[in-house]
Amino acid sequence: MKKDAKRATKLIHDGSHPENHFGIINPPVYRASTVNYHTVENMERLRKNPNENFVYGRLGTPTSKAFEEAVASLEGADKTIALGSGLAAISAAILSFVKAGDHILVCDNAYSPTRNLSNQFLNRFGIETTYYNPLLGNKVKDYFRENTKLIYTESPGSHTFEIQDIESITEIAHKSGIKVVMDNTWGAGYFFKALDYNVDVSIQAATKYYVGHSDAMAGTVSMSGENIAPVTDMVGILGYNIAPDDAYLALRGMRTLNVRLKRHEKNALRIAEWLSGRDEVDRVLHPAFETCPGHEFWKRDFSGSNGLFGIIFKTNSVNAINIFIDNLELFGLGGSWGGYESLVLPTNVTRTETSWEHNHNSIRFHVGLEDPDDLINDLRNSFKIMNASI
Amino acid sequence: MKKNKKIDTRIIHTGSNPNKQNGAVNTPVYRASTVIFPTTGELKEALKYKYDKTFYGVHGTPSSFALEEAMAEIEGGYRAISVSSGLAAITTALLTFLNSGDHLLMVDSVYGPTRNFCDTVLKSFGIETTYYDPMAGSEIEHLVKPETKVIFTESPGSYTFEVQDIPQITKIAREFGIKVMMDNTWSAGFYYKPFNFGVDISIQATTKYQAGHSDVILGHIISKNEEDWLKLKTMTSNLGQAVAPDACYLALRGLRTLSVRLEQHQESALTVATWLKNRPEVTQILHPAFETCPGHKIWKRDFSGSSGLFSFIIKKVQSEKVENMLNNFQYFKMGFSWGGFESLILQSDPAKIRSAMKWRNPGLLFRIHIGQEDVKDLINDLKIGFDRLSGKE
Repeated sequence: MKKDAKRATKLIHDGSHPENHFGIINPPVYRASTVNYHTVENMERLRKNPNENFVYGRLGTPTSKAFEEAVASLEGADKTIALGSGLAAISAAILSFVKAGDHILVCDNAYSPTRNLSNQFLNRFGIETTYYNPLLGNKVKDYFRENTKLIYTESPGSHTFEIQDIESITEIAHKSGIKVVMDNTWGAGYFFKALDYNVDVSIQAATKYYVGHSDAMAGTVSMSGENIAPVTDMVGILGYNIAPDDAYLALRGMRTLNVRLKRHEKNALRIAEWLSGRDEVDRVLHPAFETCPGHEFWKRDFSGSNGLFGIIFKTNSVNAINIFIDNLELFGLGGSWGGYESLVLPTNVTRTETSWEHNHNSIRFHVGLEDPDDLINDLRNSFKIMNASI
Repeated sequence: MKKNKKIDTRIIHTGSNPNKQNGAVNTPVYRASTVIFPTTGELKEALKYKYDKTFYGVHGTPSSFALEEAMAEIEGGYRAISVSSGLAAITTALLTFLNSGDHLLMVDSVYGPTRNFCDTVLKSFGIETTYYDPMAGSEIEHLVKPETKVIFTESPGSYTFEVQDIPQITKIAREFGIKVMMDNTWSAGFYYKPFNFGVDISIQATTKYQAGHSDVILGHIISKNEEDWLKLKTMTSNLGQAVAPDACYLALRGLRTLSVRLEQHQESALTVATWLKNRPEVTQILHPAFETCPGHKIWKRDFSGSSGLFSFIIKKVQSEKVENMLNNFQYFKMGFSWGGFESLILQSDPAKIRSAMKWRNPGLLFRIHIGQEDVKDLINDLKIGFDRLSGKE
């Protein structure tokens, strides 16, 4: 693939090597543990470079490499490693840069399992976490300590949608030799190029938009230069890897990432716009809307938006909101997002550094690929039933 | 799914039943041969419904039922039957409705392997095939014999893109009690609804746009009514035509993005075709949305859009130059089939294939499938290809 190919073209051709697979466009699903080395000499040659050659199933197969190649190209990284889930990618990336006695900074709006990882796992190994306000920008410096090794960011937050000034954070962090790891799942490496903003490791919960069909769990870590070795080593030490079927489905999902995201974006903007005009809605938390905290950074740094956003209701009645949710026909009630189908989920987040007072009256939507007219009719109908209940 | 929902919504939700599959959005991959019946009573009862519920792997599983529901939903048919390839769908449908001594009217622009099946297998079974001009409308009546049982249509043809006047043909067929089958693969059942035009049996090479990722071989037969469905299903079962659950899973997974993919294929194909039309090398565009395509007016009347597959004809040049053009494309790869995410190109000479009508165009025909790459990259690839053709590069 030529480096100057456009994003849509790369998504179609990256990771495809018909010349290695009898002319077949898609990589085969390699189910491998043992790799047969044929000769001692060949074994020694392959094992000299275990992460580039195929030496053992856990370290990758042509199936997982194909997926990794496509993600690296999209994220603009020298290397991507695929893992079994987004959370596995988060834990591997953090563990690559910390040891006992270190201190890390985590944004207060981080995905809640990341918070669990800090509070219930890292602390047991003498790694201390301080949470910071996602809107601090370079003032995050005030939280730096001698032993601060890593800043963990997530932008926008996946329930409350604050967008961070990543460039200011990486600039100030790197001056103090602090690594910046970013959960870039919302931007999908498509709308936001984390490495262009000097993020050290860009994380994708590939489960979301890459897989895109709610049928596989996968995560990726993408990095360049000096960050490749520590992350590669840590993944190897932990024994993390991705199943070949999941790598296949994730790469298959990426082939339609461009067309899917275009539609998710268009549908979500239309529905968010419609919701912002509803009497029942107090505020729309969508990065492309001025009412979203950090909207100016989205405008500056992102090339578009996806299907995930939140709303805050005017009503404080949990019962009324539950009636609204339960009467939706097309929006399924469930966690995760990024699949072809629409979803809804009540917000229930923990904040310790900033305040969030809308757990009771806020919900998150994922707008799928359905016809937006049908989705709007569905929402309208549920509002009607909710209003009648109040 | 309520019938009043729009097509994009139905594509997302059809064939999905989270309440019956532990909440999961997607129907699992059921790998089944044996199906267990708890009691003799239930086994006896199950025999009555062997095509409707899980009975034995060969008849289908929830993985294939989910896909069949979606395929019928898109085409607007009664019910769909999964078979192991598009060609298997064609041959199974023909074998269901033809007996020794019968006569078949087959469109002259038909897919090559369909023609091959007629000229070998059907012939050896004592079934006579007459090929007819794809532009024949009601004149097809002159070819009808007392033994004619099936008129097979394919619109547009997948190399030469003649769009057939299906309503005229089905009208004649009805008068004579003849079944009309249509290979509806080009429109993916999305841009053309054959049952609204009188077709009895619609056929999809699901391999193409529904699967959409060049990684599945699968076909579907969709009938308008229950009676035909039962005949087709019985024949499929008698032939032992079972489908792989993984293939069904991938096809239904592909189908979820059918609308967003087709939108891009359509838009980019129209852009590329328009660009080609203005090239000095090109003498004719065979794209149903272009006036130079035979049957364009019918496409305009009956179809709601176009896909990524079309042909163009260039002035004759030396074959070495053609080879140099074809061998060095960066994105247009040479290979059979179409409907995947990627662009493809193939040269074809219809003169060697046609039997009902002579193919008289002296130029060279290329069929291309426009994938979802950025259209500017595709046009640039073609532009450099034309430079090779003219010896500039």
